[in-house]
Amino acid sequence: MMHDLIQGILTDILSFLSQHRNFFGLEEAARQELLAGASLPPLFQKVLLTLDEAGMMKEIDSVQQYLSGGPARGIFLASVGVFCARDLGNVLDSGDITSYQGAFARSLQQIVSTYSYQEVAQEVQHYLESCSGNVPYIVVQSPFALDASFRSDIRAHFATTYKLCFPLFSVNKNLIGGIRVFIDGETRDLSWISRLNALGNVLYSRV
Amino acid sequence: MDVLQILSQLGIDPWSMLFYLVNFATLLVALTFLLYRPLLSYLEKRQSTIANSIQEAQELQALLEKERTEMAAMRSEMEQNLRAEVEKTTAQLQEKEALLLKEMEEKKSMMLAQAKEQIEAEKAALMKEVEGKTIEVIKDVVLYVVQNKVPREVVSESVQEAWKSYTS
Repeated sequence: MMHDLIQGILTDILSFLSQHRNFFGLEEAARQELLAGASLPPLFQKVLLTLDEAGMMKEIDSVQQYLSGGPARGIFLASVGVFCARDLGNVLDSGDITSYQGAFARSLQQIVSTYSYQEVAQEVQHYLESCSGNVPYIVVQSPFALDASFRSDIRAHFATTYKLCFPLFSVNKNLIGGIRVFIDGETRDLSWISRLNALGNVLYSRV
Repeated sequence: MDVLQILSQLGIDPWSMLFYLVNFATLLVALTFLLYRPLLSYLEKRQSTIANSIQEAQELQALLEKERTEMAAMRSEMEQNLRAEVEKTTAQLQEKEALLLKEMEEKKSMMLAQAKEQIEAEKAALMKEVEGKTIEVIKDVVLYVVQNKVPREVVSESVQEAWKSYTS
């Protein structure tokens, strides 16, 4: 899945660069102007702004190594990780890929239609760990499925604490109300069932 | 007249008388030696035997009396000893009986106390079990009500509030 995503965005970048061969020779303002008209996601536009030609070759080399089974190194692959952590979840929730174009949009479409949220979460978690190493495993349980905007808020909150993370959302009717958050094995239980159990324990202790 | 003539007129012949006297003497001597002496000796022996027997019997009787007396004394002593033993044994038995009674009383009290303790403990355990079961029932009822009767909006609000609490 990640390979398809990386190949998609790289195809779009290379297609852009092939249309603008002198891109790396231009001034920053000119580059910005060219990128504004491109169909690349803003995150990858920023990557192109920071790189020079040699840097770009190096990044392509890193991508090749990663696709051959090597580690995920470099700004480009890190940016893919940031995109997955920040935006991919929202895309999966909404199913809306109209803000994306080209091969990247097609790879996103394939992901949305082929994989479940849990499968994507697993793949992204594994990718983020290969990029960054220490990536928390976050699960948010609720008594019913949360809507897309609430999930987006939750992701935004965790992004402030953990630079790279991909929270997994699961439904557990036994919670009855409230939520339960697991982060790397530690639990913060704000569910109704935990309060009922605590009340029961208090009553038992008084018996 | 002389005596011999007088006697012959009487029909008493002196020679016959002499003969009778000699005969009598002989008879007397013979009888003495053959009869009287053995007889007397036998009688003496018998008398002495009887006397001995009587003496022996008297001695035996004396011995018997003595032994009887001794036995009586011994019996009396034994009776006294026996009485003393019986009294001693009775006293010991009474002492033991008193001790046993005391032990039994103590054991009885201990067992009663233990039984009481056990009853109290079982009562407490039963109460605890009943209270625990009551809490379980209450929990189940509350759980049922909360799971099935609480409106969706309230649950939704709870999720929002829980998230606010988490992020604060």
